[in-house]
Amino acid sequence: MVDNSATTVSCATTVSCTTAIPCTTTISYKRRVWRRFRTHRRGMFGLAMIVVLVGVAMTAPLIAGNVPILCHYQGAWQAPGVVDCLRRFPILDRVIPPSYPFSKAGFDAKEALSEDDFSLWPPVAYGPSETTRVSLAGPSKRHWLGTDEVGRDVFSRMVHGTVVSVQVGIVSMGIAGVLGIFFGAIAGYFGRWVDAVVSRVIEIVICFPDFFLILTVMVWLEPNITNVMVVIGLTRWTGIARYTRGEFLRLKEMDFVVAARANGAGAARIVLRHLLPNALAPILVTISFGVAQAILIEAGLSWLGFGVQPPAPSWGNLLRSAYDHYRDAPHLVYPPCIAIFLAVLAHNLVGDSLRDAIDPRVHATGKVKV
Amino acid sequence: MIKFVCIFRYRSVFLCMAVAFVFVQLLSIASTGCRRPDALTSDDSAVKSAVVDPTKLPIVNPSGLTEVALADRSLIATEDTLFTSVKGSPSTLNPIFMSAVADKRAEELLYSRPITFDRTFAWRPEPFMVDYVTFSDDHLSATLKLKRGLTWHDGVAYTADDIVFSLQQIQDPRVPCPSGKDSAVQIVGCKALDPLTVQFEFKAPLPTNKWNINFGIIPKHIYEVEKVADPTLSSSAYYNKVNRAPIGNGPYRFVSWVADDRIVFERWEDYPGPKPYFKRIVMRIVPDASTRLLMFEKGEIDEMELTPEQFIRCGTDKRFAAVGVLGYASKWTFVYVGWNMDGSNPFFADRRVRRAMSFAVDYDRLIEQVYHGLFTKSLGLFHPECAAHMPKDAPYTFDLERAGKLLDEAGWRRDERDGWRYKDVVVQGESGLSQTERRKFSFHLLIPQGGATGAPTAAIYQEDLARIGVEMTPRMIEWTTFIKMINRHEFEAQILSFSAAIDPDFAWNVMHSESYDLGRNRGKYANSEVDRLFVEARGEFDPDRRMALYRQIDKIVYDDAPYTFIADAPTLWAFNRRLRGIQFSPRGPYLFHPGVLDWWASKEMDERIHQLRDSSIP
Repeated sequence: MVDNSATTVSCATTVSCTTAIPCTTTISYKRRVWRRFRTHRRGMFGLAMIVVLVGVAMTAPLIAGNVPILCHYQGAWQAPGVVDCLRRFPILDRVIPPSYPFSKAGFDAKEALSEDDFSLWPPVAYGPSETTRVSLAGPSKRHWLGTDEVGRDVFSRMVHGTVVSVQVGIVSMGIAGVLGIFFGAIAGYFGRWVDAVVSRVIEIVICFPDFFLILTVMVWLEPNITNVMVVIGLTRWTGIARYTRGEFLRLKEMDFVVAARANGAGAARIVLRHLLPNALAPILVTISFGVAQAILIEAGLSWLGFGVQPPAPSWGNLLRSAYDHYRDAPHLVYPPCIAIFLAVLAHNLVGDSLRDAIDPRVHATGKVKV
Repeated sequence: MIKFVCIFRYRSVFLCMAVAFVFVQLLSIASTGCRRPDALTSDDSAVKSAVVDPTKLPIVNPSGLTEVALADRSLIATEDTLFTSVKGSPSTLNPIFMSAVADKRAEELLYSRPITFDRTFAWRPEPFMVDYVTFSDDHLSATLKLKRGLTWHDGVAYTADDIVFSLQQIQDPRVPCPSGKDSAVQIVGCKALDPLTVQFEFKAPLPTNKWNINFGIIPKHIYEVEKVADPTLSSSAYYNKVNRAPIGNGPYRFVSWVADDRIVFERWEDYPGPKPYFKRIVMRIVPDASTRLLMFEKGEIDEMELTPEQFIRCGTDKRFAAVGVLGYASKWTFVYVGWNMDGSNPFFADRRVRRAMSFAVDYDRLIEQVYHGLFTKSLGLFHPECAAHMPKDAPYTFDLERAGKLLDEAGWRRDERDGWRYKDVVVQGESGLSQTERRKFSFHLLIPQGGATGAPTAAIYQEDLARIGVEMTPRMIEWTTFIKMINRHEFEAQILSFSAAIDPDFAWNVMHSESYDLGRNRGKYANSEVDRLFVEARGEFDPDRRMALYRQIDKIVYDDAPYTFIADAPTLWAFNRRLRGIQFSPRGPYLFHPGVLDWWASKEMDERIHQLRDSSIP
């Protein structure tokens, strides 16, 4: 039988259900979506990829870096790698002091630590901007993916480039999500002239070809990662706004909204407590696709030189420098290409599976049930 | 809602991450064994292949390349087309507006000037255009007599009036010509005594006046048409048309211009001078260096400038050797970092700081790793082959200790905690009162986009500067914006290459304090002794004494370090195997006389190449 989500999902609490998935106990809508999502093999693969990406981004200095994770230096135990890793997060950088002297400018841990000191190093003991005299070398035990034109370790640059991609994906879609949900919500809930104005604004923004709009804006702004994230966020909220508006238009006529209103709930309460949680699933699908797009846009901008500034690593920058040397060192081309491909693929797969999982008419196989 | 987003609470996901993390750490223990990884030692340098001596490669400067054209013209392919390449599209084909390299490459085909210079930069009047040029004894006037019967491409006579008209246009403040104005101001009077004779009067008796009368000449009968309606000669539809499809008097006529793709020139059969060998010249516009090389190897273009990396690779590449040969020659071009000394930043107005910056460059490593051993260390404003060059007894070397000492002396002291350098500098507060502020030694280095060596140079320099506690952040900027920014002095430091001009007097434009507003002294270098020597050199007619003055300038400028001179760039060029008669000047294979006009290909060689090309071009 076809499940009518409107009746079973009145608000964000558990309700009894008789769904396509047989169950004996009461389970929530979210849990049901997750269960259905888990049956999508590709979706789970995508999710695993995202988890790996985020994991690599969060622990980048522990995987590749030029300071030890843990060491015994001048009679004291220190963990500069771990400190570096933690200090990359917004609030922790104010709480945790940098590990002296490893954070000192120009301090070379490899020279300072003697052979006999205990030191646990990241598997690839090169920083992303650390140059060596071995240019354009092929993969080796020391440099897993080889080195670039000034002898920087490509693996290390890939790992630290992941941070950029993950950051761009999350932050830009965070901005786009907030904007999109806000405008979509007010347009969908209030309707009338608010809807008219917001919809026209959305239509105007959609008219501009995204990438060229971003490119034009980036010419005026100083190219750095913050600007890239803000600009992508400011230009890519329209899809989310349209989805939110559509969902709100549908949901606001439902009985549970009428009931809430009859109980005397105000607009803010209805939107935040009742409508938004129920509209979130399709919005997440859009955001998931949006993250993939954002990663691609950032790589494109960096490739053209308007994104993250070299020598800071990003996949786009790496691809650019690989392109300049593809005849001498073709092995440099593959890592950034594969990374960008997998990151975009992972988010698209998750988005795709999530869309199927929230749609009760669709089987796990992706076919529409008759 | 929170619960929904928190799919991460599922144990399996956590477990996966934990396992992965442990795996990575086990890997690291396995790979390093809890010991310091070997610091970069000798085995690394062993991996690096030995730097190739460019002149030893068999395909570099083969003897055929410079072979003078055969006396028997029937053996030369005179009906053939030469495909040249430029990096960017010319902005105009009007000789008085030209400034970029691509513009000048088009000019030397389309126009012949009465005054030219050869590959040694020696001044000479063009014999088939000029009867004589005489200078008065007081050096304040000159007379130029043209040969009879000269015409423009459209058959209209080329007369003294054209020369006078052209100079008037260059001097007209409404006409925007970027490069001709500073020499034109030295000419205060110019009149046509008769249709073939021009008389120039100069503001001051200068040895450079012989160069000042060498300017672009445009046909009066074409350009006077709308002068009243559009005094700029560049904005109306008419002028836009004639500036892009010009009437010249040179060995080649203009045929067509496909924007951002190609410009086609055809030999002018009525040219009064020695006729060039190629029937047509097609100038292909190819901005990307890798694409250019692919086109060259396919035979679609006959010559191209190479990056150091391409040059090294092509030298040993069989595929390249089947099509082309390499040209290597010294060139008067240097790569430098320019410092802004105008006080807008607290760092570089101090001579000690600039000298410290020059001691922090790892010259040998840059030359080996970035310039592939092809460049040489730069030792100042004038190339060692130039008579104005002064040998330096104590050139800058890579000496971080000395650099650090100089910075200490200048008051930039190293903070023991974070390792960067700081100094209390006096700044104007918002209320107008000056106050001291602790400034970190941290600056941006502007790099023009598109260059192959700017970013790697900056990456190595950045690391070395960090070692002495100076934070440098490279910033890549698109070329036109870059030029605008440095011309408006909106920079702290910038990296660029500079091609020296014919006469050492060019240095006035970059190093005289007056040139801060009027010329290209972008960093406001001001040294009264240098200013005085420049003025003295301009009034000196004895070549030896004049060069001695420039040598003094060279020495002072090098020690003051307004620029950090990094490397002298040579000419690195690829030519199709069939090309002959190529000469190199200190500017490369182009932009001197006869240059490209002397290139030729033998018929026999040409036919083979032709077949190759016909199969690859639709």
